[in-house]
Amino acid sequence: MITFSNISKIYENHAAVKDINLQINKGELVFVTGASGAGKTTLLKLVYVAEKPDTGSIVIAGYNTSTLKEKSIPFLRRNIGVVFQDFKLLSNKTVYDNIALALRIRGVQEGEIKNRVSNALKLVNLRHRSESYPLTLSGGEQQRVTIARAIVDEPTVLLADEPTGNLDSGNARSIMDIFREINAKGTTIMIATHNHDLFRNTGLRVVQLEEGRLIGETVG
Amino acid sequence: MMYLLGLAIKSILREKWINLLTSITIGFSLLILSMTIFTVYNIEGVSDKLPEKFTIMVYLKDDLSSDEIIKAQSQVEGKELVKEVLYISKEKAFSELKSNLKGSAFVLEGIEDNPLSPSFEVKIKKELFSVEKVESLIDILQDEPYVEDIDYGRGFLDFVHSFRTAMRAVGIFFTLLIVFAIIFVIYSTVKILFYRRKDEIETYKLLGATAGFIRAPFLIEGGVIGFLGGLFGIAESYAFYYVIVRLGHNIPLIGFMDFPVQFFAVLPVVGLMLGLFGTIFALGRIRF
Ligand SMILES: Nc1ncnc2c1ncn2[C@@H]1O[C@H](COP(=O)(O)OP(=O)(O)O)[C@@H](O)[C@H]1O
Ligand SMILES: [Mg+2]
Repeated sequence: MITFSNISKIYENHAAVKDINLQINKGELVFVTGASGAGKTTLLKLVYVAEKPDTGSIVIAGYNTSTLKEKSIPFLRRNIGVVFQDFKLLSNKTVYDNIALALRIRGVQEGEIKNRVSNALKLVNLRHRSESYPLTLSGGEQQRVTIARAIVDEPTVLLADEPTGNLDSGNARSIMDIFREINAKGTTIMIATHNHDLFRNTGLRVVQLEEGRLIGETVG
Repeated sequence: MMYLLGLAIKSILREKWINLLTSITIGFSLLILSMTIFTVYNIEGVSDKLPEKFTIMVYLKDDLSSDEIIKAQSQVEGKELVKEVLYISKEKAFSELKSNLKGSAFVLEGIEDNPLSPSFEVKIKKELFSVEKVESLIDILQDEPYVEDIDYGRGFLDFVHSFRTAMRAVGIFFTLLIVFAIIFVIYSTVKILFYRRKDEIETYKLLGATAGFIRAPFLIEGGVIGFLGGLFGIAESYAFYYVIVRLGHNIPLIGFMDFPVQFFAVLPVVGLMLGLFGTIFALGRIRF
């Protein structure tokens, strides 16, 4: 589903990601781990084309991100749900409208949007907050809104960047349950995290980054 | 679609002051445009009326027989540009001169022979009137054997011609200037609106919005600002028209001025188009 071949991304003489070769299969749930600054976020950005690699290529769902025409980028992104590390929620829109935005962009009818947003909110346990504004929510709640927005269109690929960064362990576990549930429905998932508790004893693939290099792979 | 319209309306209301200010500025620019067109229109109107008064005096040779005069008259009448030809005989010219001089007729005392030439007073069809055509007609007439001399207001004609050309150039210059000014005003406003929403747009892009989806609310907003500017322009232009044409009709030089007020109806359309243009320039290429 996602193939990284010789991927490098260099910021001002400094390689954030270097010579990455990685294959992620359809339906897999893979963790990317490593210390802060190891290159996890950069690796995900390269997938949803927020950054272009300096060398190598990434093929995702049949699209090669290096040769992709600029005007096709939105359509690639519609196959990818992203849980951003900094959420990227719009503070002037309600929780409902933030989640609905992902569907409005795709031209979904309002009636259907209502159903799907309400299902997504149910999944992250935030139905009672649908009319609140993001800044009135706790960090953990904002994180769950971001997750709801990422999954509301049932994407082929889900990328989650530190999705439990603001959650206590109980909430973190329930978020992991949501990911596994979505994964069971066939969505391919990459989770970037420095939190080892998240993958301990899961039996899932864990890819380790260190200073931009892929240094090993274990089973959680 | 409804959603994009909603976004645009929300933004128009949220940013109502900057939008209102932009619209008013555009309204005033359109007022200047109206004034420019008003002026050019009236100058054209005045110079269009000139050919009615314009005549060419063709002085004939003294020794023509009446047959030759009749032939010459019908030849001149046959010219495309000529509306009518009035024959003024030597004697008639002399008596007209006398009656014109009236009390000062003594200046003619002692003049036994009639010194005047017979002439044609040639009037031009005003719908065909142009300086170039009149001059080429005169060139042709000059070479006719029966013509002694030709007199016409050459200097005046040239002056009208160049004044008119100059006014047209000034009119076009002002029109272009105003068009660019309006586009620039909308350009700046949309740029500001765009930068205010930069983060929001960044998120839209990451969620998979197309360039069209991002542009649409701005285009609607820019169009509405321009259209509103056009409505202000109508109000201001009509006020200007009212003052000049209605209240000024007894004042010399202003009294004859007029203008088809229906023209003002195009101002909102002009505003709308320029609004869209300015917005397109301001948004430029959307990069992902
Ligand atoms: N936009 C950027 N400009 C310059 N350097 C960057 C940029 N983004 C990331 N980096 C650098 O690249 C390295 C990897 O960053 P990142 O991918 O965010 O790591 P992680 O997500 O694992 O913490 C870091 O050293 C970081 O400082
Ligand atoms: Mg990171």
